Amino acid sequence: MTDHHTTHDTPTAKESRTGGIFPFTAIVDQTEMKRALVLNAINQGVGGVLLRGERGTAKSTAVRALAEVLPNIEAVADCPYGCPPDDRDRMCSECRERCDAGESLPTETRPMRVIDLPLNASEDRVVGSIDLERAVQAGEREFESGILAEANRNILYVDEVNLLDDHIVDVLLDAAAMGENIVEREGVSVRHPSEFILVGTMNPEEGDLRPQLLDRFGLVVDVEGVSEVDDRVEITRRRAAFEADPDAFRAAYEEAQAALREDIVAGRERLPRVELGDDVARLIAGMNIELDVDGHRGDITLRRAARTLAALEGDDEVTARTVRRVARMALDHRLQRLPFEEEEQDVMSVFHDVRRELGLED
Amino acid sequence: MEVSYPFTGIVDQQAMKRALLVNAVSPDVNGVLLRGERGTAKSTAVRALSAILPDIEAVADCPYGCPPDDRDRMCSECRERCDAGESLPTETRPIRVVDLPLNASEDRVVGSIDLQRAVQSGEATFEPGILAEANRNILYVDEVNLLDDHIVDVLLDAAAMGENIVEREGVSVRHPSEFVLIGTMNPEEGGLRPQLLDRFDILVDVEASDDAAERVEIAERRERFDADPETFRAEYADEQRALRDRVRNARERLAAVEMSEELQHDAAYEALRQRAHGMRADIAVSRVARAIAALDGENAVTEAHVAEAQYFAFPHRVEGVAEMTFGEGLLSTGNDEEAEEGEDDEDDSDGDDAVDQQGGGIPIAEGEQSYTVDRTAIDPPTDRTMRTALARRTPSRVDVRSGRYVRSRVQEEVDDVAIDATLRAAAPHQQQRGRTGSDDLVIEPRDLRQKLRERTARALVVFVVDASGSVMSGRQMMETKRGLLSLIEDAYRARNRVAVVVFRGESAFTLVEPTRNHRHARDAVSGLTVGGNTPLAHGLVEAYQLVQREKRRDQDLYPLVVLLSDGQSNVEYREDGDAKEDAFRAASLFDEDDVPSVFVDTGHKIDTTPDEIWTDRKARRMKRKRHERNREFAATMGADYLPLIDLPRDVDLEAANREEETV
Repeated sequence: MTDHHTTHDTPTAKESRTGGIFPFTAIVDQTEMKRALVLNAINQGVGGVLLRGERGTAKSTAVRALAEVLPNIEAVADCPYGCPPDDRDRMCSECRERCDAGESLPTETRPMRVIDLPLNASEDRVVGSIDLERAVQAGEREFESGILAEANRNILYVDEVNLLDDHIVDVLLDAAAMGENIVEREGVSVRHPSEFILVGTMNPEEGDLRPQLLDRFGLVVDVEGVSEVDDRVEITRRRAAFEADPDAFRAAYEEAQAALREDIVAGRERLPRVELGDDVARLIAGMNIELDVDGHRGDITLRRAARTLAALEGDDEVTARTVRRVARMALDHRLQRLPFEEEEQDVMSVFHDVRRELGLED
Repeated sequence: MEVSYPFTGIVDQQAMKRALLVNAVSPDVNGVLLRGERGTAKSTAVRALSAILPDIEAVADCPYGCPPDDRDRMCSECRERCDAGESLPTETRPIRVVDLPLNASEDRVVGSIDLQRAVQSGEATFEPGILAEANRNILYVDEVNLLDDHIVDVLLDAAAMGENIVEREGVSVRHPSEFVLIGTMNPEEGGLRPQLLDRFDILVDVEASDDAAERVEIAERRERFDADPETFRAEYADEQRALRDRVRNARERLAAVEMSEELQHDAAYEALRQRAHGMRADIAVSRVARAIAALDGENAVTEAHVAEAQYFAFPHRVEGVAEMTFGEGLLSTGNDEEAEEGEDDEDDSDGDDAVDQQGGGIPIAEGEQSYTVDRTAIDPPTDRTMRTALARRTPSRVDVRSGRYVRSRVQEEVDDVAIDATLRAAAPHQQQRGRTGSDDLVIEPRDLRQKLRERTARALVVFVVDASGSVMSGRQMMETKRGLLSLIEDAYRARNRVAVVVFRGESAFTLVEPTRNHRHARDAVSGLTVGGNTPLAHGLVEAYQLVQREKRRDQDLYPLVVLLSDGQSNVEYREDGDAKEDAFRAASLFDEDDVPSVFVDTGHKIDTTPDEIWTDRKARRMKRKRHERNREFAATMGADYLPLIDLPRDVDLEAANREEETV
């Protein structure tokens, strides 16, 4: 395997790739938004994030900036899906066959990427379709992979996700649910892994999101404009400094960026060791029951988010306090508001009720 | 993914697991539909099933995997070979779960001409599709309620005949396609066509556990599996093997399982008594009961097996199924009582019911039984009429350039080329047209095929609701709200947006801005209060302006205005105007602009309210007069007129609403 091993010099590769991007660590305030994004960078299992907020709240800036602090992954170099070389279960059928045939797969280390799903993308482009050129020239049917292939093991970013066409949403949900893309159309029949972190941004003024798609996002953060005068001044100042001299500005933040990158890598390593005790497990289950969350996805997401936050902060155990800081982003969008029931459920008050009932410290 | 969660590792969900096993045991059972909210392990269970499916003998080189020793079930080719005395090569292979993804196009489902062979040799040979692969296997459709209509048609055809008949693109083929259909769906996203629903012998409603310890167990197992699938699966290896053996033994036993005539008779009687739809119910029950007996290792079907089979086969065939938990027998539960009471209601409709109607709460007839109200049971005729009218007024599908490509067709001027279909049309002629070696394909104009695209129409349904105090008695408001809520749900299922305009007091306002989130609309409507005068004209003008505004934003918008009112108006719109005249003027705006609309007359039922003390003659005259005026109003508006008829009275409206949430 190591014969073919190549390593990109990541920092420079990234810079050339992303050009002058506003550094993630230079974003003022917006703690929840940044936390949600970083949790996803550490643990794909958190299930993506939706950032909801009005224009000009640095939502898109943050998503694009995230690309620069994402960790590197090992991938099969010549596979269109970038399969993981050491995890046979997550490989595409071709890599698996090669692997089983005893071939040593060429690998490379590459940074995780942010793949854009533009609103006008056609279904062909998203799921992939027949390779037109090959078909016309030779009458052969080859699969030309689409955005869902590119998104495998990366971040799939949909700006204005609430404006996405319904049939694209269905396709996206299918793939997200199964972790693979099954194509049975235009004469091609293919299935390939498509495990991605779904990140969406939206301005709620432009329209709502269907609850089914909403539920697919592990976390949802409502991003609000910064209201502190000092912070606003700071935002303007940094923005101006960045525009005046992007290179110098980025250089000034390189240390902070490197530190965050290290935290993310350390978090990834720590994650499998983070314990989640019985009482915290009961706290999470109790909250979900009390809030009448559909299915079990709420439990699972909240546990993962809490574990990941603990890992990020260098803790070996999830506490009630850890749960508190991710509870709202993991559950708020899953609440059901039934007709003729006047009282509104609130995640935080339910958290404290259940916590007290179980006799846990905050 | 190939890594599937072990079936035996799924916590609880006994009914779901049992239903799936029944299908694994008996190829005669016509599938199962798992219906339930998000995240309840429905898909996980179906995928897990494949690991415990038994082996079958199949003809090794046949694309349909024909059974080597059952001539009747063979494809024509295998049959010919068999008749010619050839000994067919056989192999043992496990039954598989074949996926039918939502994005599947028709050519891949039914199969089509083999493009490569056609180009290379000019032969039109058949390339089998998903229906071929599904033969003797399990065909799984996730989100089956979102499947395109024309794919559903193809599926129903094949399922009904047990074979797939293809006549397209120069190929003419029929081949066996006998499969067990398994579907999963979240009912919130839309219903299932009745024909398709009836195809499933078994319906199981899947719910999340509400036991804290169990939920912790579910989450922990999932995490352990995700962290290390190999180790996790190893833990369950013994159980999996045992279950697999059990299924295999049951499958072998199945043919020997007897069902006494008495029990068959009982099952048929029960289906009749429960007024199960169609002929399928008792057939389904006997098929399922046999499989259950085999699964339990018994050679004869018992009453308990039949009871369990009814639990599985009746929910979607019997209206208002009595509440029962899994494991309880249905034979002893008195659903017939409910049915009889329903009849009583019709008989003495001006008796006790009138009293009930006056009081706020509406008790469920007599007896303190609680019922799981089936959706069809709480779907009163009025709602159905309204739904039909609205459905007629909103196109569910439109042909557009931006929609999804569903099929191709021959047409005179092709401006959106369906490449695959065009190539398939051109392929068999390549040699005649002189293509050699590595030349590009020779495509002629007559090969061109047009893409037929579909997109769910994006309609905006604007509800204009009378919330004035004079009109809205508590009960009436309740009914209006209830009707409105179910229409909002419908609009959501059809992927339409909704808006709600309310008029009361001296003005009108937009309660719900156009939204696709039905929950917002539902919340707002639930909390709506009533009172004051009836400014009908204001309501109509507000709705009209809303429609105009939205039309400016979206040229292709298809608006539908639904007015829920008794037609009364007592606030003038213009300073010196007349309330009634202004309302008519406002209504005519919709007609002039060709805005489709429906007028649901909620006042119609007032005439039957007993607290209004009218003589019969006066009541009739009033009724006729109002009816005429409202018809005229509808005509002015250019609207369909729908009088809101009485709802059935044996349904507790509030309970019905709560039930609806959980259906």
